[in-house]
Amino acid sequence: MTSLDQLKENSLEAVNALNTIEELEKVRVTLLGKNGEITAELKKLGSLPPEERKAHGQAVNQVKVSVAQALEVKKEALEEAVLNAQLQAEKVDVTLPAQALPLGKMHPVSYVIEEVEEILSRLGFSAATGPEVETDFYNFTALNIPEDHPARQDHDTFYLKNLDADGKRRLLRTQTSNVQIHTMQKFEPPMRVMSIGRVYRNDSDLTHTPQFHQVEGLALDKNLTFGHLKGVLQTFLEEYFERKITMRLRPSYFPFTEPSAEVDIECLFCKGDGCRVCSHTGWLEVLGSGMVHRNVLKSGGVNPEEWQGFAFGAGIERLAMLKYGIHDLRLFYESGISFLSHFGKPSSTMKV
Amino acid sequence: MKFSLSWLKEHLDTNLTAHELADKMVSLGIEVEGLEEEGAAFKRVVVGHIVSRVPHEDADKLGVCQVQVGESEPRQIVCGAPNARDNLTVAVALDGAVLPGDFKIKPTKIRGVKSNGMICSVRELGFGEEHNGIWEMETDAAIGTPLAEALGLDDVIFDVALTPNRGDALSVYGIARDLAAAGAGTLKSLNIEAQDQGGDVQTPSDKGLTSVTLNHEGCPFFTSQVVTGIQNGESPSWLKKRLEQAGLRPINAVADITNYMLMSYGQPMHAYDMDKLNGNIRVEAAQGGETLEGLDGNTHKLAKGDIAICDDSGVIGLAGIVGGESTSVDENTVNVFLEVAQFNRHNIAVTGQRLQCNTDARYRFERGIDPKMTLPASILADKLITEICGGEASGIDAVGTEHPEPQKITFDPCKVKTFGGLDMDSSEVQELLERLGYQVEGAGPFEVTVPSFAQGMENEADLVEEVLRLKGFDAVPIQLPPLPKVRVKGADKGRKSDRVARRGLAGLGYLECINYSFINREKAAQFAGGEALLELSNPLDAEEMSTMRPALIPSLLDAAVKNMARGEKEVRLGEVGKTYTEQTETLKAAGLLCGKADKHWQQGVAEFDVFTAKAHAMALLNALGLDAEKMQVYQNEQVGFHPGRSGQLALGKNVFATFGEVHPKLMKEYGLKGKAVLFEVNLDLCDSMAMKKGHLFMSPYQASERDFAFLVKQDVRAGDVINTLKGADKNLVRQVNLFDVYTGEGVADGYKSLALSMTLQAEDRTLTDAEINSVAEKAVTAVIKRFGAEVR
Ligand SMILES: [Zn+2]
Repeated sequence: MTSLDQLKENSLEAVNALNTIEELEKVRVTLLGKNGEITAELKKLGSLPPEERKAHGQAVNQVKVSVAQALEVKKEALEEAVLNAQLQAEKVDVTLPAQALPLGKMHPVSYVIEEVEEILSRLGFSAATGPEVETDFYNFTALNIPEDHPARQDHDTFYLKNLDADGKRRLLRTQTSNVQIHTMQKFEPPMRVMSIGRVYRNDSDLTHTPQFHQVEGLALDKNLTFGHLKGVLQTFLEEYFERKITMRLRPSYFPFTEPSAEVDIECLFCKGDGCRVCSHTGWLEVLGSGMVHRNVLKSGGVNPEEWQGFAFGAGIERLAMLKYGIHDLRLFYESGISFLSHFGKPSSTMKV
Repeated sequence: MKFSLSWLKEHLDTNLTAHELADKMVSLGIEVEGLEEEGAAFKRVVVGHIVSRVPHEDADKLGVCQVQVGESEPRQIVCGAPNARDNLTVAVALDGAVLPGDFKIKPTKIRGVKSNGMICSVRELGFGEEHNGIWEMETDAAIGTPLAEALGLDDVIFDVALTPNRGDALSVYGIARDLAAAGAGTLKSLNIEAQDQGGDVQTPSDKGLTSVTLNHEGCPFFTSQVVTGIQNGESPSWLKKRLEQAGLRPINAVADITNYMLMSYGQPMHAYDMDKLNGNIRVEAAQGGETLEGLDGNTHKLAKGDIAICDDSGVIGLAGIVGGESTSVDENTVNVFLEVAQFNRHNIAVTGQRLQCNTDARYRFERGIDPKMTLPASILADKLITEICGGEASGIDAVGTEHPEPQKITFDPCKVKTFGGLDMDSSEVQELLERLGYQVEGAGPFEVTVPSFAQGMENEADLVEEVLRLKGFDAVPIQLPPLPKVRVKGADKGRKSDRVARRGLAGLGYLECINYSFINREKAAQFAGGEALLELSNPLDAEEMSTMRPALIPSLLDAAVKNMARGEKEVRLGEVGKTYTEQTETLKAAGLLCGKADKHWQQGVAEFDVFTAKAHAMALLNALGLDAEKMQVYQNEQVGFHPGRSGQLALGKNVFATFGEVHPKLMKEYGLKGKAVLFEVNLDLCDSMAMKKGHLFMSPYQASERDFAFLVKQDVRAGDVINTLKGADKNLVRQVNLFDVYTGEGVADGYKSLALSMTLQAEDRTLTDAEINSVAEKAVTAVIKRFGAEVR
C-alpha cells in the first residue's frame, strides 16, 4: 500500500467517524485546508521528477475528490440529523386550544333587512329613509287616517312631551308609511321606493314589543294595477323564502290603500295542513298591501288622475321568525349573547 | 264577533257547510279567526243501547255487554259500572273518540275479553262530577245518533274579525247578505208583516206618554215606542243560548232582546224603564260637566257638544255609547220605553275615545250603521218583546230624517282592468255590483247608486274593490311590472353607512344587538352632551323607558349588565341605530367591550384598553371612507367617560367618533365590575363627509428610516410630536412610527422618553443622505422648539 493509499484510507475513516458539523469542519481543514495533509501531497508535486508528476498528480487529485465527496455526504447526513433533532425538539401538542378570535355577528333583524333590501332593489325599488319622530300629519292624516278614525286607536301611539317648532304634536312613527309621503313630496313619479326601519307602538306582551321594524314598498306609475302588485309580492316572497310560495290575498282594510289586501302564504311548516305556528289555519299572514288611496297621493302632491300604484308592508321580525325559526319575538330586543351568537350571522356569510 | 251557524241560517238559506261558509267569508274580506264545533269533543260518541249484559268470567265486578250502536251487529264492550244492565240507553265512545283529558278510545282486551268501545259516565264526557256509574240517558234520538246531535250540541260557532270599513257586516244579517251576494245562499227577507207596522196603534206621543225632541245634528233620526204591562224575567233558553254563543251574558229578557237585535241586524237600541223617566225626552248637546252613572259601572263626565239623551231629571244616556243606571230596565220593569235611533259616527267616535268607553253600540255607530235598518229593527224588537214578555206595544214615533239621499258614483267599468288588473266585461261588472246591492245605470261610465248599508264608498277605487272582492282576489292574474325607467336617486341617505357599520362591527368581533330607543332619563342625561333630551309623554315604563336615547352607549351598558347577570364573562356588543335629542335624529354606531375572557394557557387573559376602542373606532371610520389617521384627537368632555382615558376623533368642529374607558363612577352606578371600553361613531356625519380617495403613492425607490428619542414633559401629547415630525416635509415623510414610551431609570420625574422612527421616501428618486439629514434635522429642531424636548 502506498502512502497515498494509506492517506486516503485514513482520511475516509476519519470522515466516517465524524459526529458533528464542527468536527467535520476541523477535519476538512486538516485534510483539505491550506496546510492540510492532502494539500501537502499536492504541494510535493513540484519536487517530483517531471515524468512522475502527472501520474502522481492525478492520484492525489483523485484522493482529494473522494475525500471532498465523503465530507459532503457526511455533512448532509449530519445536517439532516441536526434538523431532525430540531424538529423533534420543536414538536408541540396541536390539540391544545388556539386563542379564539372573537366572531362578530349581525343581528337577525339586520340581515333580514339586507336580504329584503337586496330583493326589492332587484325589483327596481330604491331605498328611502325618513324620520322616526313625526307629526300627526305624516303618520296619520296624510295617510288618510283622520283624527276620529277607528284605525288610530289600533296604533297605540307614543307621543312626545314637547310640541315641534310649529306648535304641532309630535309622535314616534307607528309605521314606515310616513316615508311614502316624504318621498312623494321630494321626488316626481314614476317612482319605486322602499323604506325600512324602526317603528313604535305602545304595546308589550308575548307577541308585541313596543319597538319593531317594518319594510314598506311604494310603486307609482301611469298604469300599475292590482295584478302588478300581486306579481311583485309573489316574486318578493319566493325570493325571500327561497322556495315556491302559495300566496292568498284577502280583502282587508287599510286607510291608505283601496283596494286593500292581507297577504297570506301557505304555512311553511305544515304545508297547509294546520300546525301550531299557523294556529291550525294552514296560512301565515305575512304582508299588508293595496292600491295607493287617492287621498294619499294628494297628500304627497301627486295627481291621482295621472298616477296610480301600489304599496305593501311587512314586519321584519315576523319575516325573520318565519324564515329562521325564531319562536319568541321578545328575544330580538333582549340583547342576550347566547341569542345573538346563535341567530346572528357573520358578515362574511352574507350574500350581496 | 261571534255567532252560531244556526243563527246565520235564520237569515241565509244555504246548503254549504260551516267550513265552506268560512272560506267564502275569508275571500269576501270577513276574517274568520275561529270555527268552533260545539260537539267537537264528542266526535265518535253515539247514543247506544245495551242489549244484554253477562258477568265477566274472570272478574266479578266486570260485565260483558252487547251494545247496539246503529251498526249491523251490536258491539261487545266490557264495562265495570254497577248500573250497567239490559235495556239501557247510554252514551258510547267508539274507537277514534277522544274524551276530555285527551283520553283516546281504541279496541282493547280486558281480562282476556275483547272490548270495542266504552260506555261513558257523566264525568268521562266532561259534563260534571257524577262517576258512580254510566250515564243513563233519556233521549228520543235514534240509536247510533251522534251524541252532539242528540244533545243539541251540533252548532258551529264562527268567530270573525271585521275591518273598520265593514260596518255593513257587523251583524249576522249583514254577513248573510254578503254571503248571499257571493252566491253562498239566498238571503231571507226580514220577517215583518203588515200588521207589525202598527198602522192604527197609537204612538207614545199620541198617548201623551213621552214625546221626543231632536236638538242635535248628530242625531238625524230617532224612533221610540212603549211596551206596557210586560213581565221582564229570564229570557227563553233559545235566546240565552244565542247570546252565550256570541260571548254575551244574558241579563233579563228586555236587555237580552236589545243585545240580540244589535247582533242580528247591527242596529243598536236602548230600553228605558218607562216608570223611571221624568217627562219628555230631548236629544241635545251637552253643556259640558254633566255626569252620567253608566250601565258599565263608570261615572262619565260629558264634554260640551256630546250627544246627550235627557229627560227632565237631566242626562239619562250617552247617545250611542252607554245608557244610564238611573233609568235602566230590571226584572221589576213593567213598562218599557225603547229607543232605536241613528247617531253620527264622528260624534260617537270623539266622545267614545275621550271617555275610553267601549261598547257594542259605540263600535257599530263608529263604523256606520244602515239607516234603512232603523225602522225595521224597531218593529222587530217590539214584536219580540211582546212575544217573550207579553204586554202591549204602542205604535212607533219616528222623528227626523230616516236616511239621507243615497250616494252616487260615476264609474268607468274599464277601471276593473286598468286599476284592478282583471279583464272583465262591463256586463259582468254590472252584475257583480247589483248582486252587492248597488244600482247601476248608464252604459259608458256607470252611474252607480250606493246601497244604504255600504260604508265609506266614495270613488271608483272603492267600487273596483267591491267587484274584485266578490269575484275573489285570486281571479286577478299575476303580472310583473317592467322595471322602471328611472330610479329614484338620492333618497337613500344613511342606508350605505348603516350597512357598512353593521358589517364593520361584526368584522371587528362585535355581536350586534338592537335595544329599545327609549331609556331611563338619568342614563340618557349622562351622554346627552348638554343637549335637550327628547321625552315621551306616555311612556310604556315611566322610569326605564321615558326618554329617547341621545347616545347608544347607555343601551350597550344596560345590555352588558343584563348579560353579566346571566353569567356571561366577556361582553362584546355593538349596535347601529338612531339617537335623539329634542331637535335631532342621528344615526350612530357603537361598540362596547367589557368583562374578562377566560384565561388562556398561552396568552393569559386578552387585555383591552382605551387604545382598543380607539383602534376600533378608527377602523370603522376608515371603512366608512374617512381617513382616521388624518383626524385630530381631542379630549373627551362627556361625563360618562374616564376623563384621562378617553378622546374624540375630529376634523375641526366635526366630531366623528368618541372612544374611551367608562368612568369608574358610572361603572359603579351600572353595577359593572372591572373595566369597560367603548366607542361611538356618528354615521350621518361620516356619510356627509366621506372623503375622496387621494393620490396613490407608489415608489420603486428606496425608503430610508431615521430613529429619534426625545425627552419631553409627561403632559406632552405623543400625537402632537408625531404630527410635528410629519410636518417636517409633507412630501417626503411617509410615516412616523412611535415604538417606545419610557419612564423610569434614567428619565427624570415628570418626563418621558419617546422613541420614534420616521420613514422617508420620494416617488421619483432615491433620496440622498444630505436630503434625509436635512429633513431629519428640521424635524428634530421643530420638536425641540415646540415641546422643549431634549434629544437623547
Ligand atoms: Zn302550519
